[in-house]
Amino acid sequence: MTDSRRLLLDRFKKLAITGETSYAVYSHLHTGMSDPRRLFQSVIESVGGECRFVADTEAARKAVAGSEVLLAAKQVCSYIKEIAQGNFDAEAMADAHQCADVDLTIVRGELGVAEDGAVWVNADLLRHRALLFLSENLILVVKGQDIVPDMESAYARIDFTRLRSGYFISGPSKTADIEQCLVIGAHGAKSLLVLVVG
Amino acid sequence: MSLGRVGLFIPCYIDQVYPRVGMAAVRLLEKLGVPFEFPEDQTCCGQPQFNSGCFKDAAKLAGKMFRIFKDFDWVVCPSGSCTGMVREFYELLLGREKEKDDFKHLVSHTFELCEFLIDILKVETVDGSFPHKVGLHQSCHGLRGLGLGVPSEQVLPGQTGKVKRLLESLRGIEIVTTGRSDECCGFGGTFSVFEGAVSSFIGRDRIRDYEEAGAEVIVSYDVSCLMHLDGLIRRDKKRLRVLHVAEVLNRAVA
Amino acid sequence: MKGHARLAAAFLKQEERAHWHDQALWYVREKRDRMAASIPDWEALRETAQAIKRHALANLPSYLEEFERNAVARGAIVHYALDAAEHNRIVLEILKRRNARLVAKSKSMLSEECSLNEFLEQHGVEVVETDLAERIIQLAGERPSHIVLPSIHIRKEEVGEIFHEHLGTESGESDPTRLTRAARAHLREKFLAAEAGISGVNFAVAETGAVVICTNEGNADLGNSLPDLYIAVMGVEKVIPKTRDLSVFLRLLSRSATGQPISAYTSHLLGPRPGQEMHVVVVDNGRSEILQREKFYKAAFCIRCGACLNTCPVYRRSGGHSYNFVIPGPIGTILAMHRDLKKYKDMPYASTLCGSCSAVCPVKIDIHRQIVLWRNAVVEAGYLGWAKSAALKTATLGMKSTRLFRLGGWVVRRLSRVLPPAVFNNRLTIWGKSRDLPKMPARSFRAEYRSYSRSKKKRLESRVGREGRS
Repeated sequence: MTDSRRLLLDRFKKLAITGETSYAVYSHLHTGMSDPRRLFQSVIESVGGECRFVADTEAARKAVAGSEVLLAAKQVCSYIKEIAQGNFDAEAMADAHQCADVDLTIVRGELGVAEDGAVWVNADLLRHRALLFLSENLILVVKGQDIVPDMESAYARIDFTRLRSGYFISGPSKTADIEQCLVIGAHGAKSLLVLVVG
Repeated sequence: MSLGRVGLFIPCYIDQVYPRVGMAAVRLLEKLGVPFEFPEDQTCCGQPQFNSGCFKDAAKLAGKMFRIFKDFDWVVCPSGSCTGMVREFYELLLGREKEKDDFKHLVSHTFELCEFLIDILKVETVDGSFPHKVGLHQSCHGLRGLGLGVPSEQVLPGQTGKVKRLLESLRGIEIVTTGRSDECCGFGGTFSVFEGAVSSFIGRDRIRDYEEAGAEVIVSYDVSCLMHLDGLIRRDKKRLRVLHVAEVLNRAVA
Repeated sequence: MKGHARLAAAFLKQEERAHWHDQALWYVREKRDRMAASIPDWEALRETAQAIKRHALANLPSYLEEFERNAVARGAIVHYALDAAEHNRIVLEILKRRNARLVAKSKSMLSEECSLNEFLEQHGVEVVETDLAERIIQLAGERPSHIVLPSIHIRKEEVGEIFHEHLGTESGESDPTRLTRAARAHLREKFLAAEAGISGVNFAVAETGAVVICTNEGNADLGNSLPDLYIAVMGVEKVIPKTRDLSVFLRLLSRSATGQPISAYTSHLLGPRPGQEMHVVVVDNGRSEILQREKFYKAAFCIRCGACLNTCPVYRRSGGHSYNFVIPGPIGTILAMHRDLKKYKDMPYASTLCGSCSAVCPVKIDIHRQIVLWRNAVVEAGYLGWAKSAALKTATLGMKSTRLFRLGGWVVRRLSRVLPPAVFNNRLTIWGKSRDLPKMPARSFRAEYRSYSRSKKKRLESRVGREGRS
């Protein structure tokens, strides 16, 4: 195996790529992005998700309490106790497989990206990162001040030095594999609600 | 404005199959007061050989073209693909010449007819009339290789196509909007023979697009595409006509 | 092995289906256009992406070592495979050591390239493709026909039949939502039972050792989170230098591939989750050869978006199965030629050289120009075929000499005016099978022009003469 390593690395030492190979750092133009929050919301909606702006934590709590997904849910797992109590403690489960029937998971998002409606979730906060994908429905809560315009700004704020896993989540899971007909809810969450607080 | 010597480069299939396009180019240049010469020794730029991968054979023909045209100040050609051949690909064929000044001059001074009018003669509008519904077929090499139009794949804000603008200056003309603005016609040179089924299928899709958009005549700066489309039009007994852009401009101008 | 021309002709016999296939892919191309148009500096972005790839590949050994160092520091186990066989062996060994017999697999074109599934199945491992399209074709026993939309050639009624046979859905069911729900339930069981997960990699970040995977379905994430064993397989060219470089590629990838701003899930994995063993298998399998070919190395820039397939007028009207290589269409052609010039020599000729592929490629590979250069390589190797060679050599002869050229043209024009059109407008001339030949003119341009010039000169002379006399 080590032989293959040495041999492989050696193979790539003689290449035909010539000329200038440095590159300038790219700066994305924010043309037309006058309102990142509105753009963030419209992109989420265009990809089958829902995005709501609420004034504060109390308003967020009310929004979740009255939401269809919560009312229909049997197993609710909440990582934000101020917003919802939940009735399923995923942290107490020894195995992710035991989270297979969770109907709704509520998790904090560290930031939201306006250009593509993506929310960054630091999955180290969860004992079982699989929960983000097993859960039938997902609610992500982001602070209004944490909406950034683009991916460059997002990556500049993420610390990868100790991170084990993190996800940009944009909309619910979906597929168009059957005759290009969009179906929301493939293997992951069937719905996504993003709450922007403040 | 003194242009110097202008050489008229007439593609092989225009010479042999569509002389009317060559004559339209001749008449048009005369009307515009452009003194030109037609070097009779020319045959073919080598594109069929090049496209098939026979670079050595193509190089023989490219060498001949280079010798015939290198002393002209400008070379004008009523074909996007043949012009593209010189500008984009002659350096691959004439490796030994490519650093020489006269080679660089030929490559940078060979123009398709419309771009010669627009970029060199500074003729942005043509005073003439062509009251017809036109399907503008923006042939691939000219479109993506020479920049004769704005390719639909690219994001070039604020830009509009040169050839389209030139045609739109004609009184009464209506350039129809097709479902696919610049899809290939399917000719592809020897592709039309060796992959005949795909070639014709693509061509028929193009024709249907122009029909549905209400075009009376399909216009292009490449008569090779028109030859292919016309072959299908006549086999299917459709009512569309085909005209080269030189013919349109020539007819429009008194 | 039937060449593209014959397979394509067969594909086109089912006209309605061919139109449907063409429209479905054009629709994806249009979505891409709309996304690209929303980014005013899209063209500059493509330049940057190519520059990053060029830099990364020019410095590949040091970036691979950096990636390995960082991934290992996070607890991943990194392996190197020189070729497909070694890749397959390594994956099998990892599975066998942990006694894993059921694998939840997510899309990986590399694994298709190595025929991993067949190899594993032969050695007693059950591989379940979890990407919906991949599962459909796996159940149907077919090859993927597109690198991003593997089952684009299959109609919903046919999916219904496949699911009725294998999943027990109702006969005649063709509603995409109901079929997808059935697949969700079926595959959820597999995810929960899987003893190992295998996925491909979209980007491997050298700076952090992160493996980045983009999916819409969430299948890769269930596959790499639930089982206690996870294997990520990647070609060497997936390595990119820095985290910030991801922004450029992520901005381009989904927009180019499916016309979305980003995929639903962009997963960043830095080492295994607690209680899990994570392996990364880094594969060459011919990529080093690609990078040594001066005229052809740009093919290695590819980020596997599939935009070139969607835009190709030939691919749309012939389908992925008309190409004999694991990856079809324009990028497939230039990759196939690197792998085996002789075996895939028909592929570069399955193109009109329209250049649309090059215009959509997010990393600006000049695909159509590469295709023409490969045609030259085919000719130089003597693989053109005697019929084509003879035809072209004859044409060259006839064009080198101006006199022969004029004579040849004259003969053809004479013949065409003497013989009835039916002689030419038929299957034997090949052109004439589906089109009419052009009406040959009485005279060539040069003859017309000569006589035009003469009579113009005469008119001028006689006018001067009159003016002189008056």
